[in-house]
Amino acid sequence: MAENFFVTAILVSHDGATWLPETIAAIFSQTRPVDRIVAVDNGSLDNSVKLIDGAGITVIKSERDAGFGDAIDLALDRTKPILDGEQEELIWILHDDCAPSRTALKFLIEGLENNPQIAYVGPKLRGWYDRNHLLEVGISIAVNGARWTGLEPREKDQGQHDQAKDVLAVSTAAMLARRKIFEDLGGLDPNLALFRDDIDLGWRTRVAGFAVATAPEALVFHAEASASERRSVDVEEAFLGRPRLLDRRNAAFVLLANVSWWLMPWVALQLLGAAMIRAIGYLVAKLPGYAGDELAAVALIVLKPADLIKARRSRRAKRLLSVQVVRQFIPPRGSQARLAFEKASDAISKYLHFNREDDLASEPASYADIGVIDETFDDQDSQRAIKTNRFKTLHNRPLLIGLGIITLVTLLAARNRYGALSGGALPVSPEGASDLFRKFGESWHQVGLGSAAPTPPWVGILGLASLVTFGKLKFFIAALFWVTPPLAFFVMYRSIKRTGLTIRFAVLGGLIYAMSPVVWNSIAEGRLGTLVLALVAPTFISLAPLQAATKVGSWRRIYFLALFASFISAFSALFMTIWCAVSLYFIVTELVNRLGEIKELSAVKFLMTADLARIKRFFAFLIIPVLLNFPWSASLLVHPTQILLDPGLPVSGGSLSQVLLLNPGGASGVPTWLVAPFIIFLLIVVFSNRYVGESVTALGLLAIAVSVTQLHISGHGSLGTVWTGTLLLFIEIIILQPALKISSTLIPNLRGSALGFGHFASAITAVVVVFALVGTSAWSITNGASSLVTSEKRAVIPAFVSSLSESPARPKTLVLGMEGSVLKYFITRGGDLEIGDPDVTVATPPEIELAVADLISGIGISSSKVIGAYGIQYIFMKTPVDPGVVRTIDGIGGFTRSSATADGVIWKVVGSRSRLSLFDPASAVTPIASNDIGAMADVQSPGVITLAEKYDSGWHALFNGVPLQLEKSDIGLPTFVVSDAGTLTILHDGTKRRALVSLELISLLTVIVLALPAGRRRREMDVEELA
Amino acid sequence: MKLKLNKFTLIALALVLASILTTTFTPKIGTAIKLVQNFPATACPGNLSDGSATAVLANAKVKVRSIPSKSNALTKAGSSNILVNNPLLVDGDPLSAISVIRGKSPWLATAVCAISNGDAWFVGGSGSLTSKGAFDIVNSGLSVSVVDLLVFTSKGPAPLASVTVAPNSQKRIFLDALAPGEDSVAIHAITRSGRVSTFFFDERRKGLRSLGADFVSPGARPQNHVVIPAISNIVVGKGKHATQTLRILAPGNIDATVKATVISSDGSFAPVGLDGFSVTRGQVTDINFSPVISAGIYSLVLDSDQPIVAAVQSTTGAFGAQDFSWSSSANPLTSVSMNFGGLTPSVQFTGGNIAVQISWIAVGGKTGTKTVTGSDSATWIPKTGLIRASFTNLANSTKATYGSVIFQGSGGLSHLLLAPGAVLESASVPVPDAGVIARR
Repeated sequence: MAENFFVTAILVSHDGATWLPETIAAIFSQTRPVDRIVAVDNGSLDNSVKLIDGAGITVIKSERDAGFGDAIDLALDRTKPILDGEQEELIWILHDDCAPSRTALKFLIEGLENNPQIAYVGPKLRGWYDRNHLLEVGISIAVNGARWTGLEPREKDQGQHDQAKDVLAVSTAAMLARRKIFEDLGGLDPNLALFRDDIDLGWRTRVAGFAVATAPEALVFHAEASASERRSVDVEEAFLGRPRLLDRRNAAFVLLANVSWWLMPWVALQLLGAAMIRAIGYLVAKLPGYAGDELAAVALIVLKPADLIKARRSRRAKRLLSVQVVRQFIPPRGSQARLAFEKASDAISKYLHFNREDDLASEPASYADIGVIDETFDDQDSQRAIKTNRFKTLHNRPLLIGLGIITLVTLLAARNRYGALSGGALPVSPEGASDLFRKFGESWHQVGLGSAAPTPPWVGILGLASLVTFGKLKFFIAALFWVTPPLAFFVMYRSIKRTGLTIRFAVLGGLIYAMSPVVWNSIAEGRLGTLVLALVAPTFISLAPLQAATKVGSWRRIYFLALFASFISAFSALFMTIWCAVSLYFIVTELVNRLGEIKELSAVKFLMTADLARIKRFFAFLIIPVLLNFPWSASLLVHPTQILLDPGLPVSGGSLSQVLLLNPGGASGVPTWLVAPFIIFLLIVVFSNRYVGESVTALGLLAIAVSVTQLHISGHGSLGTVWTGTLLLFIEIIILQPALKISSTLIPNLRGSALGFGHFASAITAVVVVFALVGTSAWSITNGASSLVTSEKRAVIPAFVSSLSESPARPKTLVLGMEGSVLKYFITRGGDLEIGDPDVTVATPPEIELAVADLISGIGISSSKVIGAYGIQYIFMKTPVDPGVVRTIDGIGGFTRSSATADGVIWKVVGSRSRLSLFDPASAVTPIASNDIGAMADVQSPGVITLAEKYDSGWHALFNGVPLQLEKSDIGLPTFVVSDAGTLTILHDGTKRRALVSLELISLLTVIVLALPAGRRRREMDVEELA
Repeated sequence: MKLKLNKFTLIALALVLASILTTTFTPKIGTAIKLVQNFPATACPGNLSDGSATAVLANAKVKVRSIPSKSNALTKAGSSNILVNNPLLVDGDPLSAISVIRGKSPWLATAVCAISNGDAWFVGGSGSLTSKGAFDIVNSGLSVSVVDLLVFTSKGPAPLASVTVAPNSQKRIFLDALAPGEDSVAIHAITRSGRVSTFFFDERRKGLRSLGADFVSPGARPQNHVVIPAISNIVVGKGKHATQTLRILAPGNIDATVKATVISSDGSFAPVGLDGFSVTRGQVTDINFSPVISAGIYSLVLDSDQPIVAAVQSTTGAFGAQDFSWSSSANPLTSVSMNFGGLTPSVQFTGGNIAVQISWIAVGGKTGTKTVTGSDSATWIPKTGLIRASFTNLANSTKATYGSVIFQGSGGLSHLLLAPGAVLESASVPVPDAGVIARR
């Protein structure tokens, strides 16, 4: 019965004038009126006091930095307890920003009147601004300190939580408490001036043997003004006035003050770990203040342990039950993980939605894209008819048909590519992703006679991407080659559809693109870089990066596009060069256009005061790809011809005529007579005069492709003509969408016009398109299936030579091979060339070049000495062998025939040395055991240590811990002089490499953070979003 | 329809056009492959008898090295005709050196100083009691060489003999050890490793009486059409010519049916007994025959249904003492320059349309040039001894031309294949290429 209770309402205000009028009105409109009301104002600077006073409520004025608990204590001190045996006094704690519904108090009293064990009861809290937004129906705390409501983000109240239940705690907003119990338990902890005091109170109440419950029928609207940073937090404990810091500190305090002592270390670790993870998250979200709050909160606890000790002591005195009683209210980890996942999904969804909005803003959208109508709107009419006919259903699903065709063709064409792939430009794959990471990180590459060249970043990216196949790189590469055509189809389909063209045109565009010579030649010739670009470039182009900079797009978009450009650059140095050149062109053009302004202001003032938005954006475009691909990008400046090389071995591209037909050609590719429709598309786009930008870009790229097509470039360990596939790929992407747009507008016009040139031109184009699609499909499943790239090719290096590579001497083998009339050679350390190896291969030392030339011409009496000194212990001439060369090597001396099999002929190099040797003063040579790169061994006598590797300043030696001077021998080997017996350590100093890779990774992380959507501080959010 | 293009588009089109023109009319960059051409060093046999052996070189400046020798360096020969006891390594030269051994009785044996191409067929020689011949393996390289010898006799093939020869040395294997008691011998020598030259010297004696000697030249590989271009048919008396023995072997697994045709200035015909005969597989067969022709030199063409190797031994006593020659089968004639050291060669060509240009320097320094033409058969015999001569095949016919040399005179009888000791070898300068160790 309500009459059994005397209700004292305590209203606490602090700059709450915004909400107070409704709060006061709500208090006075209760169906069960309060019996006594007292207000405490914590030094409000607004007219809160005036409002409360005006309502006839007694106001107790307190200090501005007083805590919420202090205010309650003050109110209780000023109001004498009701000691009437008939009535029990209840205190109704009210925030100035919470407005109870008219029946709230009535239901709250009902919630505890029949259960004396319940010490407190809390209402259902809904948002102040979004009155259907469910905020809390009881609360708890997770072991990582998070406030736990058990509700989904932005959950709406549909009565789903309307059963009263036991909870760990309830919010102090409109909490109804038995005054006696409240006071017996010491009220709110003064250490928790604001935030989490409610959970602490609930915890203490539980272990004291009482219950806390909710009364969901009691409805209260809460603005959560302090938590949402709508007002300042001025309590004394709020370090720097930061509400989040206070919240986190208090969360940690509550947990550490209340958990069992033996659980403390575990909880402390979880708190620290969670704080660090959240701090990283906030940094990624570009909220460094919040990140600092997370870490500072932990620090505050650590720095003031006395408060914690005192708090634990006071709790122990009033604890009647084990802390285990609270366990049932602590949310399980699964629930926490689920909530975290939902939040992450929500964030990603919002992020993607954000990007799409950006796209839509720059391009006309289709009805389907903007979701006004169903995306199959164009086919609505026919869809009605198909319900009774399956074939017609299929007919009206062009995407399905397109995807089905391309998948079928791909499956048939890939029949010789099921397995570990190699061939053409694609070397054999190493075992796993870790091998690629090692190649990317190491400073000395064991390729040929060694190399310190920087590994291109695509090696690391490939390793990272292969994690989707659990690091099984061979499977990943094979899968990439299988799925490229269907994926390329889908990517182009999406890109075209984004421009507003119909599904049928998007499917047609996807098919033309996926069956283009560039895609199939890349598959046939192992052009890994071009394949990756074929999958990402359409999306990149469709995002119109240059327009974003020209139109002064948002910085986040600029960083996103620069990151995207950096990714493409990692696979194509030529793209990076053109991209940077174009960015530089725009910067220079902008500066030239504003020359008058610069002269007027002076250069310094111009830079300081002028609007440089466009220049800054293009500068970001210019610098970020270079920075993210550093130091590989810097090496291109030193060796500019390498810009024209794609990842992998240089395999010659096509002829001029092929390039002019937009077919990159090469040793194994789509025949030239299967004229790709792209050349017709290019002519259509150029002569339509409607797409000047696209025309100029495509023609410019074609001019570059034509110019470089006959150049022979030496690099990546070989020599070949330039592969123009990357350039042609971009031309195709650029012209395809305008060409389809022209067709989409032309076809309806032709229907209504008299027969003329347009009809014939369209018919010819259609015939060429169909011929190219059918022809390329037929080629790909016949001749194309037996391309350069196939699976499970035989190893080049004989097994016994490979097995020797792991011996302590680490022998190398000189491999000779005839290609046509040219005799070629390379040095192996036992294995075949792997992915990433060609890209770091550097020139062979001239001493070895001379020795091999002399060997082959039969005049090199000392060839074996030089070859042996470089640790080359075997010469292997693979089949087909040249009898003349074999006879010459047989006759020249210093080489002993070991075997001659169907695989080739092998000679042992007489007097060859191990990788590491000691020459003592008596000229005796002692082999020293070595690892792949470094070595640690005991040297028994003084002498000269010779390392059979290419000379590089990165080689270091420590002798008994003392660095030795690096010298170069007369045949170009790194040597060190040791003066006594002792312990020798040889290493290649990778400090510089590690530093540069670190710089690269830090830059990458920074750009990723800048490209990601920024988090918002709570004060920046709309009030409707919060409450 | 008026075509109007944006100026930027026009500039871009002009750029494309300019790049096409530039690419088309500028030389290709970076495509040149450096080639190295040289004649490999050859080896001349040493003195394989008690006669005198002479290496006939192009000139005195040619570098040579004796095998074995303490130094690996080659030194100038000092003379174009140098007497040798040991084999001689001769620096590569377009003019093929020859080796001439003269016996006391007298007899004459000649051989082209050559380098093995790895596989050689020698048809001739004997392991009987009269045989003093030897198979000489010269390893002019600085690595150990291994040569496999497969000896065929009238009984069939003998087990494979593998011979290891130390670097910079020779190994001589006497025929009576290689095929003891065998009258009819053919040897297939396969060089497994090493820079090796192989020579087959056939010398016969009966007691103290010499029966003559000659080198058995390495003939053509087994084939169905075998041409022996030059066989001596010297007149030894009135109506009496040298005696000939055809030695033939079908090394495959099937017996061969062979038809022989004699081609001479007298015409072409199948000699009696040779117009269709059978050769048992794996067994060396000797067939004596005496073609009734007036020509002093003739050719023999063998057509078989199975690959065969063959040679003809001509024996004569026309020069005061008995001597013989082994005429081997030849490969089609290519251009060849050869030193003759003053000998007078009788050069016999056979083929469809013969057109061979010959340039020579005779003893005394007189030079001459002549184009020998003919159909089926043509013979050229210089009036005097020659220092050297070059033979260039001008025939542009699908039917190949073959040629060989016969030396026949007071010094004895010998046969020499008209084939270079070493062919010009062309090799690219080796290029470092990582693709060599890539699975492609």
